[in-house]
Amino acid sequence: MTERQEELAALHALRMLEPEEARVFLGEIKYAPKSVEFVHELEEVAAELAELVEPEEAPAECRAAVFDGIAGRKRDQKVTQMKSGTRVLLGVLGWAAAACIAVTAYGMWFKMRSAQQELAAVLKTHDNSQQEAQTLRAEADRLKQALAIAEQKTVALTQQILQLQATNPLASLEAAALKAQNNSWADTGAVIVWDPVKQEGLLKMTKARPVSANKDYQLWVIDKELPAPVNAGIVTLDEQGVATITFKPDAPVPHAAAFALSIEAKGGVPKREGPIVLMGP
Amino acid sequence: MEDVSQETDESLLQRAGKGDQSAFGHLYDRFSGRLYGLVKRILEDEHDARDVLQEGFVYLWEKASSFDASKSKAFTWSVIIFRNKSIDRIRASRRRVKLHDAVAEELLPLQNTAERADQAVEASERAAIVRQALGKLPEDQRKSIEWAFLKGFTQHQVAELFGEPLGTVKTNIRRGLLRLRDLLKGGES
Repeated sequence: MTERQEELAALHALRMLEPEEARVFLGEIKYAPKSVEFVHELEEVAAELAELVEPEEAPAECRAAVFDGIAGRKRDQKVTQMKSGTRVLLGVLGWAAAACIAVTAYGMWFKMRSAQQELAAVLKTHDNSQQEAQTLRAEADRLKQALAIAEQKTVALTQQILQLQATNPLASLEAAALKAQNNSWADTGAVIVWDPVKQEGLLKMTKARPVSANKDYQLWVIDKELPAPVNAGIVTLDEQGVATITFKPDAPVPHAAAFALSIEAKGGVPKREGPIVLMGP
Repeated sequence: MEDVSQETDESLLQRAGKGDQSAFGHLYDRFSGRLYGLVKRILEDEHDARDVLQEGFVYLWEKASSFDASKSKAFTWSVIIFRNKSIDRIRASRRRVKLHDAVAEELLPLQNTAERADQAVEASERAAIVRQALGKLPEDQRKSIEWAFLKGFTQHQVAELFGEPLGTVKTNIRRGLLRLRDLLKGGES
């Protein structure tokens, strides 16, 4: 029994609950014999207080009235000893009373049957609700299992992708052709192959114009989520205007969106300053 | 004349349950003074007290066959019936003791009784045990129980009467009755 129920039991034992509160409480403990017993025990305890009330002699007529009340009930049961005329009249009245009782009994029987039907319906609804709850619980369990399986599959697929990427380096490679940004480099060809996993790439440039002695081509990797292009190193041409270099940007570039070649001071600069001559894709 | 002086209350009530009017008469003689004192104290009206006494005893006669001596004592079982009838009458007539008038009496209901009884010979051994047990309760618990028992006050009325939060009244009643139970069982000194 909870503390709250003990409180209610104590209040009920002293009749301190309002009728509605008492009704709810009694309904709550109806099927809990121990609680009912506890309430009864407290009622008995409270009743003991009556021992302390000073007795007072009851008026003499009360005793007679009580026994009249009891005897009156007995007299009601001895009607058959009356005179025959009265008996006939009472017989008719008796039949009428019996008919009334029969009608009343039928009414009560009908009400009882309705109540039973109502109870059956409530019990059925209760059963249905329980079945529904069971079905929902089973469905929830099934979905949980499906989710767990899906998660396992996702993990397995991710591992598979990583394995494939490891065994097949080409799988993750991206290629980009750089386009001239003005006519002076219109004949220049520049192609980049970029591996985002390894964060490194290859630049192949042909027919590139030589730059002045105090300048160098410098390669940049552009990520829209980064504040500035990331330096990927200077590009040195051979005599035929060809360059093939592998590069690795100074900082990680998670989402490489474009590559650019600019002309910068000899040896390169940390931040792009010069004009971009080729860019792509 | 039948000598029932050695017969227990429970036995008389059980005989009454089987239709023995003589046994019921003896029971009436044993209980009526204490029960009349109780209902008169609760109702504070002689006429109402008389009515409740008569109704109560007729009801007792009707229900005597359902009395279970293994669960209750005949007297406490009767007290519950008579007290309930008294409280029903108060609540049905919507008659309420004005709380400030009740406070004005100053003396607690049973404390008053106890003081008078201290000067007299104990009416019964059980009364002495109950009085002693009640005296061991903290005052706030005792007075809440006493007023509820003798005035038929609801928890809200007791809270209003003593200007205490409802939660305090509930706690006092619960703790008080449980302690009283233990004391009357002799489980706590």
